[in-house]
Amino acid sequence: MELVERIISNPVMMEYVWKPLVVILILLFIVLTLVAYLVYAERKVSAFIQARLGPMRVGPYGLLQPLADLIKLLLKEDLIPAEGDRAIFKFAPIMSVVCALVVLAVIPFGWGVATITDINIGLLFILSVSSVGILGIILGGWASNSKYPLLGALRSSAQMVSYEVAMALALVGPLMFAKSLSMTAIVEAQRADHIWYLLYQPVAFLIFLVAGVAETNRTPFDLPEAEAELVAGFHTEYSGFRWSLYFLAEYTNMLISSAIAVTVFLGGWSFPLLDRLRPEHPGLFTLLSILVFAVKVFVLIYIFMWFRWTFPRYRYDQLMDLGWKWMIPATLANILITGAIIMIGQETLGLTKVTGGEYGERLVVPGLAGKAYFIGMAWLVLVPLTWIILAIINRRSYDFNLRAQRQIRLPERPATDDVFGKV
Amino acid sequence: MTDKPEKPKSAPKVSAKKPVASSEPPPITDDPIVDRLRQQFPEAVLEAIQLDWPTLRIARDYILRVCRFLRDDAEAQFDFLTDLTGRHIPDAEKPFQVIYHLYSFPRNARLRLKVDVGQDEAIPSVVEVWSGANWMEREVYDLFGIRFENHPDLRRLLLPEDWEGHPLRKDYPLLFRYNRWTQEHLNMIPFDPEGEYTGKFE
Amino acid sequence: MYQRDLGATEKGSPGIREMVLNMGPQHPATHGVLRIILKLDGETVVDLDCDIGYLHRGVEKICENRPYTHIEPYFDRLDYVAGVSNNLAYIEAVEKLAGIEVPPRAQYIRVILTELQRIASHLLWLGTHAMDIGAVTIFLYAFREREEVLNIFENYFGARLTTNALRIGGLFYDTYPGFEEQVRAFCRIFPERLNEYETILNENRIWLGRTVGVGVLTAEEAKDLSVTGPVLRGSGVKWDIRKAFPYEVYDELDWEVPVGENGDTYDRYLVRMEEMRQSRHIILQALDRLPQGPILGKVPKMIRPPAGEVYHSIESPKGELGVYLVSNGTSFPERLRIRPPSQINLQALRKMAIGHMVADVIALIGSIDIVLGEVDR
Repeated sequence: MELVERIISNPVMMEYVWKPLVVILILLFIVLTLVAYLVYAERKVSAFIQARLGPMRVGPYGLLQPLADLIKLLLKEDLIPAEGDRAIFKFAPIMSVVCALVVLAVIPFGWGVATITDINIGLLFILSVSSVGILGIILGGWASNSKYPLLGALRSSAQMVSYEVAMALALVGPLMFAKSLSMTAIVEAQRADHIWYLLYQPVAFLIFLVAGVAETNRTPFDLPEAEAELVAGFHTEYSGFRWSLYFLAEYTNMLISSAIAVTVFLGGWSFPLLDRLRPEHPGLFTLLSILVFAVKVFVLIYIFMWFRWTFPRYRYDQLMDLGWKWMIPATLANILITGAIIMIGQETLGLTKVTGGEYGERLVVPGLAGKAYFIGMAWLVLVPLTWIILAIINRRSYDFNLRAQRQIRLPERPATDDVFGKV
Repeated sequence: MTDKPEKPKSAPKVSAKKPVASSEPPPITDDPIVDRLRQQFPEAVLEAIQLDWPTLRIARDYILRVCRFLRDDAEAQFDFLTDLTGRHIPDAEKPFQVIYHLYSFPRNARLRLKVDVGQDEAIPSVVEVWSGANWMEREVYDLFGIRFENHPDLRRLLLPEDWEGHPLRKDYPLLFRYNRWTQEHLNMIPFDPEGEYTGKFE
Repeated sequence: MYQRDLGATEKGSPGIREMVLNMGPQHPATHGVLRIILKLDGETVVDLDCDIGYLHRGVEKICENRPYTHIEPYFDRLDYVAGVSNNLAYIEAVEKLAGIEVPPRAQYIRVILTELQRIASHLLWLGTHAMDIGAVTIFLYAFREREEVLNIFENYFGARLTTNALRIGGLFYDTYPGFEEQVRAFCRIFPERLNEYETILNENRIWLGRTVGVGVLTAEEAKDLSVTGPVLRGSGVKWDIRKAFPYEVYDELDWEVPVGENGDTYDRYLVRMEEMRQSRHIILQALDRLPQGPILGKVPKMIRPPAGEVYHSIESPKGELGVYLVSNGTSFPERLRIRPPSQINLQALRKMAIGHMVADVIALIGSIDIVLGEVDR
């Protein structure tokens, strides 16, 4: 009994088991509730876009809808295909969800305690773990022993492989400035430099955003679960709570994609002028930093939802086209051109300096001239040059040469309705 | 409506019911296309009358050649098969009729062809002339049981493969719920092998 | 671009490369109970076969056992999203066979109703077609306008889908008070709404990528396959029964037949969009010219057309809807054949889809615009 007490109150246990456990529980509670309300938000956003009301019945403005959905999903019958691989079928959604949730550990939600862990390979960790999550989709599709899920899983694997590459390469550009893989270091670098890397790296941001949409299987890249073609894609045979695990993973992934984009390109939890609060009111600053981060993430999530309810769906070959012929060359060009811009700025013009700090070395652009140079080069040279390179690569591509909008030609008729009397 | 007795369909009863002063439709005499057709195939055109559209009765063996001629001929130009259907006339000598509605885009004219088919006779398929005839012929085969020679894929179109009977024949009952197929596939009533499944109204 | 030499697959090891995928009869994108058996090589369609008939009711057989006046309700259940057009085809065939005159006011109201029905049907097509390709929002936008048309129908017919107020020789109801204002109000907002849809779709790269060059049907192929309606016009054949054999009062009205050029899915989309505009023009003109007078002509109590036969067709939203009616002089038709436009257009699916991908098959089904109630009858 004493031993147990000793183990519990052991400072090492305290530091490495109990404290993290509490943090994990809090985080999971927050994130899972958030995900449930993301579904609600998605429905409300889609309703807003589609000129209707969305959920209104359960609670005021349908606010209790996620709870009702949860109860419904828990009570639903859990079906397993008779010919399916039962063990893998049960294991696959768990794998998806676990991989999605593990990534949350390294995301800096805010300053101070809101940064749960900061490992120096943060970005790599995220990329590698989330690519394991894809296995959950593939295994789920395969274990169902049904053709639609199989096709969905195949599409999914091809799509993920292609877009992982683009996603990872897109992150290289900002990393050249931050010179660190640690998420907190990237935020600190942007904060110290008073800049968002979006301004230095517009191409990388765009590609990361598109790849992020593709990674989370959302329209226009929702081919693995293309409703109209593959019924429900890889989760056709899933029902009840197993299905909702996939759903959970999808929305968590959306959250994570936006969180990475915010961290790397939009300055994370930092916000101009807010820094002055830090020395005097650290508690308030932490709270505000979380708020800033949340607002930025939700703006991106809204954009994700906006995409989903506005765009049609790509076809499989067009998706591959976009991935391999447009996004990967664009990221490579981005890396090369950014490298050249940094070289010129650093060596020839001497606009930058490398400073050491709490998180190791990083590139800092002290003067206004330097910032103007990097931003100008990014928007006036990097963007057009990347576009030209893409145009050259894809000059024979069907998509690039897509004929201009056609119109049904009719004989000229009076443009007004006067001919037809009062309308 | 289901318990309605069988409708009178036989011809004598009908004519007794209402004496129709049906004037005979006028025969076609001066149509250049019919003339050319008669010239080309002297035995093909059995009858040519003017109904709402010119209507020709064609001999069964000639129908494929006539159709090809009508499509390719520079004056006829019937390049479009609007419709192909069948008809069952139980009392006639040749109880089946296949009816073709042709249309010519350049001339904006329609033409109706009719072919009489005997009880167990087959009729040449016109799929090689107009591919659109494929499903229409399958439907006629399905619903009337008229077979088409050289059809690329003569299967039932609407009914299941193992359905018995051809519904649009006049001797096929209107209400035919308890038949062999529904018994086997839909689990409706115990099947009585001795029972009468010819399809009487119940 | 991705069309593959199918011969190579056949020469290789068949049965190993290919997979048979059974799409339907329960599938979200087959618009009902259409079953398509696809033979796939990866995702490329090597062959396909349509299995129809899951909704076969034997309408033709039923109609042969019903008096002429009782048959009409069976017709608006054929193409249940275009009930008025279907009713009109049958009613006109009977009128033509029996030689019944229809008063002009009834004719104009019929034209207004059928054109409204065409708009409603095309809106449904637009919504479902776009949703199949993934643009979900269009679906609800299109239904918003369709709702207004259906409200007019509800006021006029008392029903929204199974419209059944046309009668042999005219109409059952005259227009309700406020009919003209309601139709005009719809016509006033409609072009703006159409532009709204086109803003979302016309220049959208993904939409273009999914529709341009997909399922090309040349004019010769279309004629050969007996394809009619917007699919035929999308292939560049300027043919509309309302122009070729004008019925009702279409020859008095001024409107155009929109024609595509390339015969692909995008052109069929454009043709249908333009047809909605033309329908609106027709409605407005018909409203301006709407005469006063009776709505029902002289019709005998018992309709017994003289023995004879008639083939009459109208331009339904899906294509040429023909009725071949054989009368034997009684009050029951001897033979009634319905030429189902979307069934015959569906034949072209195989021609269009081979060599494309699974996703294109979905787009093509939508672009043919089938309604299974009419395909299976």
